Amino acid sequence: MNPAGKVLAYCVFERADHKTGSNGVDGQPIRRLDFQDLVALYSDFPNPRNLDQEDALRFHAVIKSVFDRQAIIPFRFPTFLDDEAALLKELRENYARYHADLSRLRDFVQMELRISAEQQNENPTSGKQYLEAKLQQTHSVQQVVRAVRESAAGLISDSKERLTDRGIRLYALIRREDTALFRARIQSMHAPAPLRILLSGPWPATDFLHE
Amino acid sequence: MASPNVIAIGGDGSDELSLLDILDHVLNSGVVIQGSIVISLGGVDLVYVGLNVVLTSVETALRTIEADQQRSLERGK
Repeated sequence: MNPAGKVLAYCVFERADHKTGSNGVDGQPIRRLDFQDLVALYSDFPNPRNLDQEDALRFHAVIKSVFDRQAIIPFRFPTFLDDEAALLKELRENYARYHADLSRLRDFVQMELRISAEQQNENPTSGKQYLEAKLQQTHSVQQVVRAVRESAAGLISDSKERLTDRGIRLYALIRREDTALFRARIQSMHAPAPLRILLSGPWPATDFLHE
Repeated sequence: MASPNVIAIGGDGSDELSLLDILDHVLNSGVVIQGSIVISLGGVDLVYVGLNVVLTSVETALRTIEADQQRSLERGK
């Protein structure tokens, strides 16, 4: 399907007076669509072509320029709609949900921790050995998760965990003003080998939006 | 002092880990609008065709980077 002639949606946020950046994907001007107390950003996409990594990074730059100042709800890249009217319809039909999420998450950001084993016994000699190693890894990861929660006590307003092949992804909802403190506390931790913690953020609190 | 096993990803896209982290988020996080256009060719989303060369998990990328660094160190011995 050819998306040319469509509009690319970036994000929704509560109306603010600041400017919303310059150009988006394809160098197209960023446009804003106001609906009640919400604003959606979008740009035209007039030229048919495949999207690439640079487009994704340009998209990220646009939403980051807003997120650096306030809470946003990003659209997943790439979200194309027929025209501005279709975007307005989306805002109107989902206003209550967007409004509630942005109000609830106004002062919050999401930090992410990937807690995983650097290496495993890739060649277990038996199924039993494999399961024992897996169980040991799970226990070790859970210990680190508990240590993270203790280390960041008082900073995490909400959290979610998602299992991965080698460990857990932990999503922590924290106040924007606590970002540096949260990072410092996590970076002062020690993850016992072979575990590792990858700390990322702040990000828009997308894992804490209402379903 | 930061533990060597705790790695903070920059988030500015200036290194490979940070770049992959950003791509992971823009492609996998955020609101999906029902009825929005899916760009696809033969059932495969084009955007993923375009990005799958670089898109791998951050953990995998880190292992690759470290393996490269280790090889470089060994060559320098």
